[in-house]
Amino acid sequence: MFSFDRQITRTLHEEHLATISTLERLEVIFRKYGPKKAPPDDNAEITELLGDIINLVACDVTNHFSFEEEKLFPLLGAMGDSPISSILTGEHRVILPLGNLLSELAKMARSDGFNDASWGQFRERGVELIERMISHIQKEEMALLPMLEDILEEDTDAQLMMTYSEMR
Amino acid sequence: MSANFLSGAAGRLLPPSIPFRFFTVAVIFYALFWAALFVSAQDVTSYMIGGGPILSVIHMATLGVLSMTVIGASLQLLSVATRKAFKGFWLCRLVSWFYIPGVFLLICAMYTSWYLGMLMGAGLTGAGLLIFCGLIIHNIWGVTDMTAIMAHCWAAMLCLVGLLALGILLIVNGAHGFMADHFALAVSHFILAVFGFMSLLAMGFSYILIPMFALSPAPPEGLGRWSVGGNITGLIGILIGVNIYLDWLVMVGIAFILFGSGLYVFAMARVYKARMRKRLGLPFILIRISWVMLLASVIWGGVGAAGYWPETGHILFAAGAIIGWLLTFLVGVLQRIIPFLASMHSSGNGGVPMLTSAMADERLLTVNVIGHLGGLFAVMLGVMLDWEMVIRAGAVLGFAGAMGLLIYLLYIIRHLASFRGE
Repeated sequence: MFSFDRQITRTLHEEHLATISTLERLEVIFRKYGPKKAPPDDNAEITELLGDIINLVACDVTNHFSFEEEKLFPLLGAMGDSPISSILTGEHRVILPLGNLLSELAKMARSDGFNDASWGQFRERGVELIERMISHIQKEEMALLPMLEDILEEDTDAQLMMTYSEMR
Repeated sequence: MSANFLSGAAGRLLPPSIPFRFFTVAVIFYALFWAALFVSAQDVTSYMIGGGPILSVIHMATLGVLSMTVIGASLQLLSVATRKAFKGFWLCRLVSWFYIPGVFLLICAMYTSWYLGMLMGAGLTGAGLLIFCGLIIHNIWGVTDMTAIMAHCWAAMLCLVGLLALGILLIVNGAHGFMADHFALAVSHFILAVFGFMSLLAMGFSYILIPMFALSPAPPEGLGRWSVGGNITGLIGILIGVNIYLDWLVMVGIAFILFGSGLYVFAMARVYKARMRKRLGLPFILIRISWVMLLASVIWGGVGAAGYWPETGHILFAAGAIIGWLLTFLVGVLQRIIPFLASMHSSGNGGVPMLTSAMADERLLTVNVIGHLGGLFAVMLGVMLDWEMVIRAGAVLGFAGAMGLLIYLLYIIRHLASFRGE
């Protein structure tokens, strides 16, 4: 695995791992159940996954993105490397509403179950989220986190970690 | 090695028309290669040396697909990896203006054994390759980090100059016959092209691309350095051994190449094992098979150097190295790099980044993988059994697979063009 020395990069990396793991489980479900017919309501695996998606969007997506935009990207900007920040911010603008929509659909499915139409919508949005999110994580892992490792001093790292803990 | 690779990418992306022109022509040659193999299947196993359809088919794969892809990918990746943008895009375009028509002419001339056409084609191709070589050397000059990748690039450029000189010498010697041992020249040219220029660039860029695509840490720099050292030593040993007829030296050279390739595959296996994303999809099926084929080809080369090849052993060796290792690897890389570049270009425009799955039907990539692997298996089997029909069947499968990739690429280009036009 990647070895990151800073607390904040380690934390963000662990969140990426958790996100990929949830998205891969979602991918398995989508492979199992096609777009036309909703899966049965009593599927425990799907019920658990829906809960994980709601959590994922609330914690690992919303907080993660806000923290990056409010605290990390300005740091990179001050170092003169803003192109990657603007690419990532642009992707946040697309991924966050998509994640929120999927989370809402997951909440509705947990209370009322899926019908064929809601499943179709959930699946379509889910597939899009998986593709966008994996590509986004790829950029963060290969660009953002290594850059932070290069520029962060120990005290800034501790400060950022504290701020992030409070935000979560 | 791959860390920070993407951080400067947005500012150092070439205009998409540059890499995509090479990729498009490469995929067209990929389809033509299988088609020509189908037509000339009866001559495959009996081919030993000289002009004609089989020489043309080999160069469709090496110059048309492999070098074409390597040029497009190198121009794009190197400027991002070294964080040095190419100063004049016109020089990158100039490479294509010489190289692409040159390869077409050379391949047609080889097919018809037209001496003057071969010379003119080789001249144009060589000019394109020399400009490419100059661009690469200018870009890597003075780069002190990423030593393993830079060593691969330097060694590949030296091999390129050598194989070009030998290639032109072979054409002239084919007509005038002034060199005593045409066969030793041809073997040297083949080794420099396949295990020198193309393999070294493929291996070097793997240290950036594979960790990036697999979401995995780069392997230790030392592995890359030992690997390239083994490969360079092996190449030198084989070239000297072949030309002064020292079989033991050829064997030692092959052992070094096996060591270098083994280390490369070991490094890549580490990257693969440590990946964050567990489902890497179809391209990695091709890429993993290509790594096996690389080692199998080198070992099979050793069997041949020891004198244990059957009658069609040399063709099996060429097919294993060219189709099994390089073509399979680069098609896998193309399957990932085409959507990746399309995504980067659409992200950099400030709008909503395009979904590659929305640009083209990804089932086309499945067609490509099935066709390619079916083609590879059937061609290898057909060569082993010396059975023309099986080779033809493989060519049909390979052609169908290549068409899948070509249609996929054309869809991506169409969407990218319309997106950038908005």
